[in-house]
Amino acid sequence: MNFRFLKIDIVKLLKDNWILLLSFIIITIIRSYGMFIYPYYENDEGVYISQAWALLEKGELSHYTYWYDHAPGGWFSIGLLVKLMGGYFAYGLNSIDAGRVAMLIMNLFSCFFIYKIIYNLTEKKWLGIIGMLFFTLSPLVVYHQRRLLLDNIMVFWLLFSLSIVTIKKIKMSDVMLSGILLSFSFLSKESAIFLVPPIIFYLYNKLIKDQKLIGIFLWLSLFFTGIGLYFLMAFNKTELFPSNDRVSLINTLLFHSKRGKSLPFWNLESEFRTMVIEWAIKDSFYTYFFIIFSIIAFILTLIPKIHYKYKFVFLMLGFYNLFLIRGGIVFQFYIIPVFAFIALAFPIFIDLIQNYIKINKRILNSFLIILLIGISLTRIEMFQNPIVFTKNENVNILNALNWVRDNLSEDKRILIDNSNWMDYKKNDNFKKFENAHWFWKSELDSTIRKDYYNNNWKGVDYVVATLGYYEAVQAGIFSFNKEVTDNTFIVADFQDNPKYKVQHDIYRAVNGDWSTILKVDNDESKLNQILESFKENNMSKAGRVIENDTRYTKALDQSEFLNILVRKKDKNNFDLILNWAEANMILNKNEYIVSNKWGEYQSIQKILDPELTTQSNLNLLQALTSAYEVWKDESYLNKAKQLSTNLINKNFVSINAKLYPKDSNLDIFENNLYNFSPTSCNIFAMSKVAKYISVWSEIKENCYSLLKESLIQIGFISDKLQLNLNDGTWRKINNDKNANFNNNLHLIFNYISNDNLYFPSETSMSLAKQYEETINSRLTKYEYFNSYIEYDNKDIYPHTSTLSSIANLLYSTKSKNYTTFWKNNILKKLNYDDLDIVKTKSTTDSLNYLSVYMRYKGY
Amino acid sequence: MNYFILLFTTIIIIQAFYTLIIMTYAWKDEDEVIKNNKKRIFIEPKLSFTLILPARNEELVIADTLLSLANIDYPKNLYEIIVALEPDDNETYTIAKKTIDNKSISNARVLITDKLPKGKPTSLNESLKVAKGEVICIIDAEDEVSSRLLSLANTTMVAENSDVLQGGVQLMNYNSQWFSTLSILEYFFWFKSSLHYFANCKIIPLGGNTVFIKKQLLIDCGGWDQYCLTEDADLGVRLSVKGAKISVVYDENNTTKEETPEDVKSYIKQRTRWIQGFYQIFMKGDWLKLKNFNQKFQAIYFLLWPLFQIMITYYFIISLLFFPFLKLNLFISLYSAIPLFLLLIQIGFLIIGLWMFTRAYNLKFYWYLPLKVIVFYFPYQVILSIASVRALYREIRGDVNWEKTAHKNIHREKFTSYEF
Repeated sequence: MNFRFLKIDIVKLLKDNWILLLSFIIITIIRSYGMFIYPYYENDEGVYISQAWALLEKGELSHYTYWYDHAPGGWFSIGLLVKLMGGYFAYGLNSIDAGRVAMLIMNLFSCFFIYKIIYNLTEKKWLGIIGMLFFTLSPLVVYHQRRLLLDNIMVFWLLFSLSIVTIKKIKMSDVMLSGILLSFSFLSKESAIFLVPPIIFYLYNKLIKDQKLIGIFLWLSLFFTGIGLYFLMAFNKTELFPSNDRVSLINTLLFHSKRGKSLPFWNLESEFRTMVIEWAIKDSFYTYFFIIFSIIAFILTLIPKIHYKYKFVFLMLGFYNLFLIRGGIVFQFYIIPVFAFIALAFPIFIDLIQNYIKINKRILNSFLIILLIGISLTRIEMFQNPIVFTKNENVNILNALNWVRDNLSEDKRILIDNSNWMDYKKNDNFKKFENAHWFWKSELDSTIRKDYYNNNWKGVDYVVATLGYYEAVQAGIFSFNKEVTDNTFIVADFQDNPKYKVQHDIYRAVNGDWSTILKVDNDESKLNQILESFKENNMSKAGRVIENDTRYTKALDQSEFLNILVRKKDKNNFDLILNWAEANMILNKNEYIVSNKWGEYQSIQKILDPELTTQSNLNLLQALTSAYEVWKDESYLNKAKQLSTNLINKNFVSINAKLYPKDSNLDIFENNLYNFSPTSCNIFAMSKVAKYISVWSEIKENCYSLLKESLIQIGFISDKLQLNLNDGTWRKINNDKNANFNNNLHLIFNYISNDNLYFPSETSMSLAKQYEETINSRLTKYEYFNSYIEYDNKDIYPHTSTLSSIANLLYSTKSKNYTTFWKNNILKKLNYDDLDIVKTKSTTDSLNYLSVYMRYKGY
Repeated sequence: MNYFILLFTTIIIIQAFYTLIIMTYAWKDEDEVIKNNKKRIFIEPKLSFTLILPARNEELVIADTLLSLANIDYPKNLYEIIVALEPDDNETYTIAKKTIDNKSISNARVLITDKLPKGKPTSLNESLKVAKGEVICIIDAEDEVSSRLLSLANTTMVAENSDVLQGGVQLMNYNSQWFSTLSILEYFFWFKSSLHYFANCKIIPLGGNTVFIKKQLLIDCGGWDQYCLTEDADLGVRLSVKGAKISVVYDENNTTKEETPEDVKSYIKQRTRWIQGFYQIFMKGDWLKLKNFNQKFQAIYFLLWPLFQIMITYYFIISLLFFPFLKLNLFISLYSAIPLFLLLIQIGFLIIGLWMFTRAYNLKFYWYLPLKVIVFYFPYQVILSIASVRALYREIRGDVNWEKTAHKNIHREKFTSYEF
């Protein structure tokens, strides 16, 4: 067959190059078979395909605000290829598949360039084929090369450039073209800059005397033209120089340069060493071969006699290794260029041995054949355990995508991994979730967070959790996403890897072959339902908060409900409750201070307990102060001033010129610690009340001293521990150890937690942490926290208020156990969905629960 | 607007790359560099030459030029010198005659011609009629020629079997006026590189001097066009149409040295004449008879290059002034910036050329010369574009008189007093 019009004799061409052709077929099969199912779709792949779409379809540099994460050359190349090949949804089930097809094409070209470069340098076809096979036969290589990653695109342009610059009879136009191609490489991934010195070294040696200066100048200037355009683009958009209110190229470069641990590469904790272990998991032979061979190549570059063309290839490996061991961040895929350099350097090394070692050719060739067979044997494992061809790591991700499409309406506000961004938002054949956004942007882009999520975790409806998402949440810098995730529960879980089960409670996963749909518990209706249920069951139309069983009204409940209403900004009911308390619970009409209990006795409704309890009145004072802050109604402030004066006069005692709260207005010299409320003190101290009553800050400090003393004395808070105000000594009320804990214990937790939340200080945090430690030790010991812990490990019915208060405490210390505790102890045990709490628990318990639940809901 | 910028930018990018390729042609590959730099071994003198020296009001320089021609290292019986003068130029005649007589230059003579129209082409055609040599060579009145010029021409023309040879011409006063640095660089790249490219394309605009043409071919072509302001380039086009074998040689040791005009006004006048001459050649249409498309394309390129130059210069000025205020699409604004980078590369390349020039001619490379190139690049382009506009204006008006360039002999290290 002779295609004369092409001037090519096809038969002769095939006959001469059949091994090359066969190698290409094998390489194509290895690279493509199973490429849609393995490895799993990675977040970055989605970023690049989305950015390619944005660039080619919208003329914008990114699908979100472009922040110079990388130059746009990579996604421009990929976008063009994808467009040429039929579009973003033409292959497989995910947009990334189209990118992977483009990647396959680029990789095959890269393979050819490897062959071409080696042939240019050695004029040996068989070495070129070895290079191509080295560039393919490794699970580690296949894993990374299938992925749509900028490093692969960078390598494509780099090899293209090298295949031109290594032409034997190089022309100045080749030099110019090579410079332009390397600038494409740089514009795809900036690490290409590390290859400039080896190429200059090569050109310097390759060009003859009169060409050197001109050739190197042209190469460099055309290369820097590409880079210059990138900087000019930033300048043009006034985003070159650092600025506080907008993205900046220089800022991003600084950010990149500071990423990761800056440890020397020999340190076991360094990024490089960590990655070596990761790489070795996928292909230990290849990884250690790379390291050993890099050392050999480095030594060879130091030998003066060796021809520059060999040194050039070794230097490329060396300079890229310099980048890897520089002491900054190293990602797994940073190894991608190494594949190319090893694929070039190893055949070159064989050629070097053949040309320089002067021993019997037969012995030498036998040695080389044994070496190649040895290496080939290590590659067989790839086919014995063919996960790269058969393992489906994407089925769960696609199932999650389909679940969302089938079960959620298009208006849902969802946090997603970018690997599915195109599929959630731009596929015309399915629902388009306009309010679904990449979780990075919900965290880092204040506009997205504000416009779509109202700067509040409650603004999110669902999270499609993936490995990338959990890694980000776990890293500790994604506080918004963490808060969202803390408030979720699982609605659909897609995972089937028995070896590495996802630990949802601590947001940890090992591999990325899963996806879970998390529902955000942002349903306000539930809170409203609970509140309404409480009003229905526990509040009279006149404004009285009623005990379920006794039908009495306690000042503690009345005042606590006032605080809940002011947080809910429910002024009508607030006034109703307040008015009722003022009308019925104030004993002495000349004083603004409420009594402890009101109810019916012998058919007469009256104050049943005239004690002016400290904690109830502190609650009331807090409610009044908050009400003034919320509604700016001076009447609340006046009442607060009055109550504050009365409270200090009646319920505080001065010991050694220091004020301490007493248990009540009864003149006894003991103090229950639950009277202590530093938050209230702080609120008062900072409110207008302080203008009139200035002792609250001082009281707070005094109370903290007492608490610290209690810890020193007995190691834990007990509300039955009393301080003799005369002599300053502590005593237990009785010796029954169980009696040291009662229902009011939780109040202390609550007070400390609130203070720690609203007025964090070293003291509040250290106290809260000490309580947390005790609580955690009990949580470890028993699955659920039991306030009656002394009842010998019995899983008795938990005390609702205590549990709520503990949840509050853990929340205030940002404890990692907070979510677990809430879910295990509150949601499960208290079964709040049935609204049982407000129906079956005591009013005080219900109010405590409501108070904490409101905080959980963001109030 | 966007499409206009895209189109214009694309044209400029292509042009800039094309210019780079032409400028770097001499270094394009190893073979070309070796060919241009090979050590020359001169063969036995075979060809006979007639050196025609047309002059008018060149009393300041004619003596030195004659002396340098007389000192050529070539058998005197194999070359003759004809000084072609006009009858009213007594001063030049006197100096030329005295020089020939006093220095006993036996193979030189003065030819006075009163044929109309007056001008260099007429002088050349009249000289051609009386020339005895096999090869005609044109020398300008201010030229400082190499003593091995004829040996070089003899060797090259015999070895390459050429009909035409363009020798190297080089302006030397690289640091005298603000524009002279860029002017000499233009010559340097034109003769060292670009002409090789055009010769390779088999279409060449010949220079005004140090050109060697076989007499018979010249006669067959009808000599020089007496009405063309750049009769040399016109002849080059016609010789190319005829399929003459043209060689180019630029050997730094054997170039003909010249000088830049003394001031901007003279420079613009000189350029106006050249550019107008190119317009005339384009309008004559002889280039249409060239055999292949590439030749025609190259002819169009160099004949109309001055027009491109006007567009490019003003495009740059306009783009620098106005683009920052236009709300352009990001890609278009970036794309339109590429010519700016290519321009910077060209300026960088000129600086490298300047360094190579000073090295080749053993001249001092002053530290400020690169700055001079950078600072005066644009003003230089502006005066070239003024010359282009002026030439167009003159051509449209039919104003074809010859604006002569005055020569002051400053390109020579030593020069002879004409007071004998």
